[in-house]
Amino acid sequence: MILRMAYVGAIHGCRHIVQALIAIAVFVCIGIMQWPLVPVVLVLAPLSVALAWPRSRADA
Amino acid sequence: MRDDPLIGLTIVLVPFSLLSVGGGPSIFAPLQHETVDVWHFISAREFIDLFAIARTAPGPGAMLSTLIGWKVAGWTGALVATLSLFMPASILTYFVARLYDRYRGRDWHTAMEKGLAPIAVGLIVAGALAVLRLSGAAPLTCAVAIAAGVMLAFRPQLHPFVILFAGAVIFVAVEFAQKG
Repeated sequence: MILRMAYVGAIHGCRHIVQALIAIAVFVCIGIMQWPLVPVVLVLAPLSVALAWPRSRADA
Repeated sequence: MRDDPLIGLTIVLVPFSLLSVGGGPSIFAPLQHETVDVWHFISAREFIDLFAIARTAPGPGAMLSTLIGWKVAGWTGALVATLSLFMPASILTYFVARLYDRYRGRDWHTAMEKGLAPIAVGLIVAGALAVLRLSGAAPLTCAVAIAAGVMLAFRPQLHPFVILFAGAVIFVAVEFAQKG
């Protein structure tokens, strides 16, 4: 059920290569490296939003 | 401070509450890491057992944190864990929801939506890996998990209990085959 949730999320939330790379980076940091959630999210979330910003302007 | 399990639960769960983008499933991996490997609240076996109970029982999957709190410090632990995980996120959501529609369509609003979605996906997949890893990650376990994920993805109308029942039948059959 978790895998299905991830699949549905990926279909809707990872349509761009940058989004897919961010998702993979989060998976590697948390799932593989088992780094703590807080620093990983605090670094990658603002980075992901910043990278999405030009695309959101283009889409607007 | 590390000796007090209630403070420990709060220290672990409050940041998860505020940063677990993607809901309950996104905290499984870090929750397992913190409660099993870092704070040693419970063993890996206990985490898997509590995870199974939380997923099959009614209610949100994040109730796993309530069960961990209960395991660590009884009813008080369950209450502290539940409040630590749900209260900060609820307060944050209340204020964000008030602003959400007002700024819909703005560049930063769209960027937030597009930027946080992959964070949630990465966390959820990491959660799936954490559960698989704790359950032993035997080839049969991985195969059944992937098959269940594929079936639910392409047949979303299929009731989860059908999948759970089919998985149970497979494992019972394999167990009997190995003994026989």
